[in-house]
Amino acid sequence: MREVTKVYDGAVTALDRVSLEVSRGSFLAVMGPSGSGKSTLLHCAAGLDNPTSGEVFVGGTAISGLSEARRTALRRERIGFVFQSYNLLPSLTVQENITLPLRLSGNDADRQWLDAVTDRVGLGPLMSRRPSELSGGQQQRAAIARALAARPEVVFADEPTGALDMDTAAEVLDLLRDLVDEFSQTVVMVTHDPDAASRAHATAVVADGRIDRFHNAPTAYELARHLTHLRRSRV
Amino acid sequence: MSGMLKPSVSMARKQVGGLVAVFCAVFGAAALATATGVVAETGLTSHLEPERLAAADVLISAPQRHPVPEDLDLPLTERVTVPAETADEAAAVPGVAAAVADVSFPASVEGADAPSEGHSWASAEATGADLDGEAPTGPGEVVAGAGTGAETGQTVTVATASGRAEYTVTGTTGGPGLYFEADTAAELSGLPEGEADLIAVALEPGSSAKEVAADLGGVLGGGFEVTTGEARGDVERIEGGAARGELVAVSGSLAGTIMLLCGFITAGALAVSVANQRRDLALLRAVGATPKQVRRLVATQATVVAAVAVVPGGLLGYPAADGFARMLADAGMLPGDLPLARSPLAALAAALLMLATVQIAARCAAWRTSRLPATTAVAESRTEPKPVGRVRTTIGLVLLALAMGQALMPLFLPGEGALASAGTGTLTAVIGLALAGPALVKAATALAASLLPRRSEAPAWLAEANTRAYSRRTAGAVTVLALAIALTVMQVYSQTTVERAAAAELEDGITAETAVSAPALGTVPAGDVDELAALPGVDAAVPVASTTVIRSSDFLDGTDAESFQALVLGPGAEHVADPRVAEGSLADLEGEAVAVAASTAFVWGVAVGDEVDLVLADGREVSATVVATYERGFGFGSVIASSDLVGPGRIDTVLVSGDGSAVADWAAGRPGLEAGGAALGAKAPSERWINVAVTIVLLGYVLLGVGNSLVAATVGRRGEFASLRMAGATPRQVRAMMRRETAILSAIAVAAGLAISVLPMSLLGLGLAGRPWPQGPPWVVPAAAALAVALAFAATGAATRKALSGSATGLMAAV
Repeated sequence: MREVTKVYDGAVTALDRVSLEVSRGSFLAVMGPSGSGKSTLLHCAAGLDNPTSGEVFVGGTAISGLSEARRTALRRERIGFVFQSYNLLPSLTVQENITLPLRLSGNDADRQWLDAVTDRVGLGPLMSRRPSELSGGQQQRAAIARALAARPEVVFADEPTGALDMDTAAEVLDLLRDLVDEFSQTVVMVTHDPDAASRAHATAVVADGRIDRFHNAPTAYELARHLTHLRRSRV
Repeated sequence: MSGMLKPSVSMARKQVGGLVAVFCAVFGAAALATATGVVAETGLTSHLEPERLAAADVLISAPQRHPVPEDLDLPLTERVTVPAETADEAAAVPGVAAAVADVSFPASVEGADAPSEGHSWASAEATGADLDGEAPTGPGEVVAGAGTGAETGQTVTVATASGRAEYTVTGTTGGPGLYFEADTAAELSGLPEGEADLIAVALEPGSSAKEVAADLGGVLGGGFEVTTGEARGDVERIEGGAARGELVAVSGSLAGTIMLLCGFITAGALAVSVANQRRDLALLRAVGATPKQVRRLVATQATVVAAVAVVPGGLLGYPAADGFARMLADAGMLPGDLPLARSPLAALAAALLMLATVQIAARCAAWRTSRLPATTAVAESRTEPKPVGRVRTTIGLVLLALAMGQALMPLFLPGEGALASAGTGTLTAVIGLALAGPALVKAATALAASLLPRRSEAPAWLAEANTRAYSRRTAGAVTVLALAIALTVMQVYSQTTVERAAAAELEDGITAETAVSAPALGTVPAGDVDELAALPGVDAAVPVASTTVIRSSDFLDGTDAESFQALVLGPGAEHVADPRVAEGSLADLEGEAVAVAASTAFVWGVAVGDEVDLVLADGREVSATVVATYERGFGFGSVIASSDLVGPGRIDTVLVSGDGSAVADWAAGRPGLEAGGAALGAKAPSERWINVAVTIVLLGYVLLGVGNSLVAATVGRRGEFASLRMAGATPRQVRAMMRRETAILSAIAVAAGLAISVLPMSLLGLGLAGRPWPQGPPWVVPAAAALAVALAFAATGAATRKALSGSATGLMAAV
């Protein structure tokens, strides 16, 4: 994304001329204190929201400035999402939830790929259950499988471990990391948890609508210190 | 309660959609309840203004009611008389200037446009009537009042119930009607010797009406009513009292339906509101709120909304009552000048009633959620509560079976019983449907989904999955839609089927060729009937009048009395009418005799040859022999009384069998008479329109409720829409999914609604009219279904569009 600015209600500048490039097959974490603009960054990068100015490209295609319908079509083919609250549809089985994006785009499922993904997330015996019959970790793994179903160019994860306990969170992070390593999947994850961010290849720390610093393979301690510093300097 | 007020209000702010539904439901219900209350209060307390006797400060009359122990008294529809000599006793009371016996009877000038009434000049004079000319002093003299068109010195022919005679107009007066010399008036009135309608009392200047009335009451003793002030209007014109009785009855029967619907729809709106708040309520449970506190919170929330809604609702109720009263007046069921009672009592009662309803409904709606263990409550917060109670489904199925049984009753039960059974059958079925709904919807969705054109597109597939998974939510929508369709179909067709049955019975049952009536005279003069009978070519001329009779019966350990429509037929009835006699013979309908409809005879437990004790419309108690029973009870009414039993009086129509053209020629020479095809006016068509109008108002309210709950339910699905949008669904796909869901639930609702209404109405048609389909305009079925379906699509469509507006992230954030 290039020189992206997002202004809300003509007054609040959430993103201020941010440029960022994520290379294929890498795992980027985005961190920052509350209100730093990290969620807006994700929304603009994923085409959920149109930036006020600047351009966003996914795999070489510009998605900024397109209509909502065109962006939706592009999103479901090239981008996968994972949310803190899973966002599975309670009326569908796990299997149906995972194949939903494919059904919505009218594309045929790549059976081999789907089998590989469902096998990897380890929900085999639970495929015909409904989300309400699953634990949080299981639901999030189903959501990850759904995000991957269409073989997207990039998966955006918004606080994917925010609602999970430590052990389950670790499992989910392992899964995300493995996807990057095994399937060369590109993943961008927004988080406030330095531990989670330390599992990524790189971490962008956002503050006041700009990228404050870029860490390559940081430790959780480094990140925590940086964040604490940011918090202090803002007071 | 105050402890729960703050959290409930702040929670309420967050989920306005569901509470708007509650607001609308309570608003509509409060308006309807207030309007009903105004009508009821008018019936209980309002009075017609005294007119002709306005100058009589006190009126003495007999009670115009038949007392019923432990129930509302039945109004008597014809004048209950008092002894004329009561006037002398009253005149002796200090403070009384004059007390005069007053009578009223049909008396019209030939050639006048409208019928008028005759009175005694003495009572007019005593109550200060003006006079231009001379007072009548003998049999051939009359004072003509306003509206009769006669002038002093003219000779006019006056038609009364007994016959036609010529009178010289000696003077004119401003009051309405014709005024005769006292003895002439007494004779023309047809009352027994020494009887009068009422005693009009004029006071000496300076004496108090209240005090004199009290004295009069003391002197005369029981059996008399002494009336002063406004209430005199009801004594002067008894139709005012009768109309008030009617108002109480109408509002009473409406109140039940309205309360049922209001409860149903308010509860529905609350259920949606609670469902939308399930997550918040679950969290409250998790942080330590007791089930009772959760229920109280929901109840408080609903009560606050209801308290706001009852104010405009109550205010709207008053103009609504005005409209209803105007409708009744146009239909001739209510004197147009009866003022409506507009006290705040009606709105207050409606408000209290609604608040109580909301309290109970809210607690019921929150019962399940509040009782779940806190952990389950949180887990359940994203999906529907799982198991649908087996007891609930079983009770629902039992009720549906019961409804089926009730629907079949018209094939075995005659008359009114069939109607009642078919009507309640539909209501039973609606409740059954509400209970067994979720289970049935699961089965029906599978069926509906397989019947609808098969498509594998994502929206259709999602819609089917949703309908199945949310069978309870779907069932709720299906039930209200089906209720709207079923109620309309049932209300309209039960009405029209009975009308058709009555019309058909009358058409087949009147064997006379000609009917003679006298719309401009108010009665066919008895002399004319005799002339008709003597006409060459005429076989029989039978006078017909309609009246009511009251029959008391010992019911369990008390006495119950009921009023019945009755037809009065003169001798020779068997030549002009064939009510399909089951036992006995109409030829015996002479003297103190009645014929009784077979279904009524069955209920009364009487047979031909038995004596029945009846109270006539003027309060006289008589004992009559049952001489026949007949089957055409809808057309001819429950009772046919001989004219000998009822005595001379008004004649509405004369049924004539024989040479029709001779009758027509004869009638042409009799001013005021009209000869036409033999028919008896069935029930006034105006009454039907009142029923239809009331149905439309109620249907409007039901549809409001339906739209309400659909909108609220759709708004409550924003989270689901957001998830779908995140998973890559375009807004168009989400809308397509919702349309498909609406199509499925509409299909089920139409099928269910028609099944529980068309079926019983067809059986009713078979039972009453011999034709196995609903008797009435056929467009009602598609119209009711189309209206309900259009509403479902409009409400869901608009709400979906609203919920999807804005960007996907906005949708996410709003959840």
